[in-house]
Amino acid sequence: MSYQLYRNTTLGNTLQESIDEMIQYGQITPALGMKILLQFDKSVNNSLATRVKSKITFKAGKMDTYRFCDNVWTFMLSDVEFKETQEMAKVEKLKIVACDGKSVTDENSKKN
Amino acid sequence: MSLSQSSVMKLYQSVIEDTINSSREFFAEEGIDDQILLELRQSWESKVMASKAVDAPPPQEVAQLPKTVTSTVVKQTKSQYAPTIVNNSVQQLKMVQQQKIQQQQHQQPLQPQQQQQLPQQQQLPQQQQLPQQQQQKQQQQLQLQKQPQQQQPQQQQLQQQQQNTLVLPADYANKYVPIQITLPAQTGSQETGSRVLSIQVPSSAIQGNMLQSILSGPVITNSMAMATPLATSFLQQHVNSVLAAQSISSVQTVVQPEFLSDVRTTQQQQQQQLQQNNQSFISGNVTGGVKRTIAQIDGANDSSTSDDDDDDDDDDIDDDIGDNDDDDDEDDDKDQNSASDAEPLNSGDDVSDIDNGELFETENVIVCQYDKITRSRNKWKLYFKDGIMSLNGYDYVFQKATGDAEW
Amino acid sequence: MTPIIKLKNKFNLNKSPLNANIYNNNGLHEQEEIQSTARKPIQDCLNVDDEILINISNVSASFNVKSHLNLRYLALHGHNVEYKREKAKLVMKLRKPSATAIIWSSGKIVCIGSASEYDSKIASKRIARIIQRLGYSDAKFSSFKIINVLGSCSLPFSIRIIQFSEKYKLNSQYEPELNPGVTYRIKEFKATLKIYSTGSITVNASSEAIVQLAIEHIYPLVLPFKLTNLLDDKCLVRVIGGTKSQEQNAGILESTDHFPINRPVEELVIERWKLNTLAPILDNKGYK
Repeated sequence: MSYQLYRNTTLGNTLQESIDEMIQYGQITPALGMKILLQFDKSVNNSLATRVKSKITFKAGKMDTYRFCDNVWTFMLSDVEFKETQEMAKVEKLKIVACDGKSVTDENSKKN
Repeated sequence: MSLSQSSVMKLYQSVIEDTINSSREFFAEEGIDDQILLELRQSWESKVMASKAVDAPPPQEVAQLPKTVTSTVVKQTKSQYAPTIVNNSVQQLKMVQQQKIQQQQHQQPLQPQQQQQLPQQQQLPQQQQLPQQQQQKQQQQLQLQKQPQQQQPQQQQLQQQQQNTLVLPADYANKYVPIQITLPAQTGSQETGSRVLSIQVPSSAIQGNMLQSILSGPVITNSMAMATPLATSFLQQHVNSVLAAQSISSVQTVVQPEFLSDVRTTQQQQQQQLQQNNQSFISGNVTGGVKRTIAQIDGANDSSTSDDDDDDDDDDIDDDIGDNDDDDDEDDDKDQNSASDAEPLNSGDDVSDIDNGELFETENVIVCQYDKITRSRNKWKLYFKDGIMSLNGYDYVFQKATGDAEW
Repeated sequence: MTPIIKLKNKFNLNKSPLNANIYNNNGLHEQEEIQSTARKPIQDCLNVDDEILINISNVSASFNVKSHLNLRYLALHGHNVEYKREKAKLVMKLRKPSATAIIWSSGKIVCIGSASEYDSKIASKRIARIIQRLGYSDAKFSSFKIINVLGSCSLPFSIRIIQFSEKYKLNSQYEPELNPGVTYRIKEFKATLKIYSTGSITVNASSEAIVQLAIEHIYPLVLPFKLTNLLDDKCLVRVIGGTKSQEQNAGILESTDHFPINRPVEELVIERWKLNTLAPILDNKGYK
């Protein structure tokens, strides 16, 4: 099983939109749409773990709030600077949602 | 170009490829033509491209620029926008439902005789934490079936009449196209059945989620209470004024019926509400079920009697000043109550900086997994892996990310 | 004469009716006022440094919101929270005033880490208010009680704690292998002090006022065990001479008799002045 949190990304949201449209137009059933989404979860978890090699660092001016609940960390940061080899991006506000990197299986059995 | 940025497209392609290919068997099981799967893929890919999140960011990103419509070729599939709007209303419905659930929740734990219901209470949030999409979809279905009987008919359907534009002309963005809005029967009126309105919008507004955000929340609710012609002009005017305010395009002046001028004054307010609404919509979307929208807590069902705006201006700089004010209040109420065991709580006990902190929502989001989170005093160190970031509208991915922050 | 012993955050304390009550009960408030008005101008000049400030570093309090709480719900909607289901408690931090609240589902809350009783109460009320605004509109602020106050001060002299603990055997406990300080209990106050040879003293008690009383109580007791002028010599010896002569001197030192308790203030000041001038030498060369 894989985390579903990547559904809230450009890639995940666009897929959900496309699926919703096709359900709307009667081209696929909601059950099938759900299967596709679950497949997406697997694919994106797997691809991230195997295909991405970049390492970045960031520094936040301030941590506004944090939350730890159900093994998920949520952070709200301000004035964040990202660096890879050189400066990459700066944002005023940033939200981070992070699941436990250690227990993918545990977490999902709990969630589902 | 940094690796975290250049990897994005590769990752996305690989995920699309993998998801589609692996879904093929599901399609076969249900006996659905492969063609549909291909259509899904096309739709998905074109949406990803249209999002511009995969484009290379400009070398120096200073601020978050609105993504304007360029004259590049944008492939639009037939159904691209209508469901998005529907989604939005689904979201609203969901918010309403959440509100209800929340309401229940607010009451439940507070009544001692209901304490034995604890397990049930604890299940509620879990239920809400269902993957959003799943929930959304279930509700959407529900909605499609039950639309006429809905108690809070915030339903709207927009159908774009101009479709299949494969190659867009250069002036595409400024061209006006009619859109149809389906509203349920006027509140309190005799007629039943839904009404169809038609308004003109610049095609640029159809791009992305613009219309969806313009035509949502109070605007639609308000228009539902109006007679059809009034609702039409009201919505038209609303769209015009919002677009003009955003200076997306030069909007043609629409002849205003006299009676609408009153509406205008309230529009500014509505627009603000709309934006708030929209923000909470975003928040609900990005939090991945970790957290629900906050906005409702102080909304109509707010149990607190205090004015939650009282500390709005408070920021880090004048926190101390604001705090002193609080302290003074505190003294007063303590003087009165120091004898009794339970002291009343009031706005003097509110925490201004947290209130401010929790209200912000942002489109800059990282979803990832944590390896380690450490803290010593107020200094946090964050170690993440396998992340997808959206910063200033552009996507990045990372294998590892480490960060420092002070609370 | 005993120096003025003061709590560092006096200003806040005076504002708090809670503490005013305590002061009135103990008669401490009046006593202090008399003390401060009784000071002569000339003494004021001499005694600029002659105050021992008690630093309150951690106040713990408990209270109850009288409402059963769904911790997970609070965790999902609150901010700056950590909720580990297995621990059955929710930890919520407050920035202003800085404090940490430990919340149980029974509605009991312990608020730790405040810098004063006053702050602790403010923080506790704010926590209760946060809970109230998160949906528990029936949440009360009741049974507020300061559980523990940790205060510390630094006396302007070193203390021969071994001799001290021998003299006050009944109340003292000194086990250098466990703790470098002497643990001294004042039963009447239910206060526990840790007295270190450096002259720093920490007190755990049930209120700020008692912390102050405890310091006032202990000051005349430790004063006779102060390392005096001979200490200066000892330090010099340590810097100039080798370890051997130092040890000899140390032996002599420790057999030195107690000094009178009530010494003129002037003498105190001069001694400290001497110590201060020595300090740089020590920093550079001594105690590596």
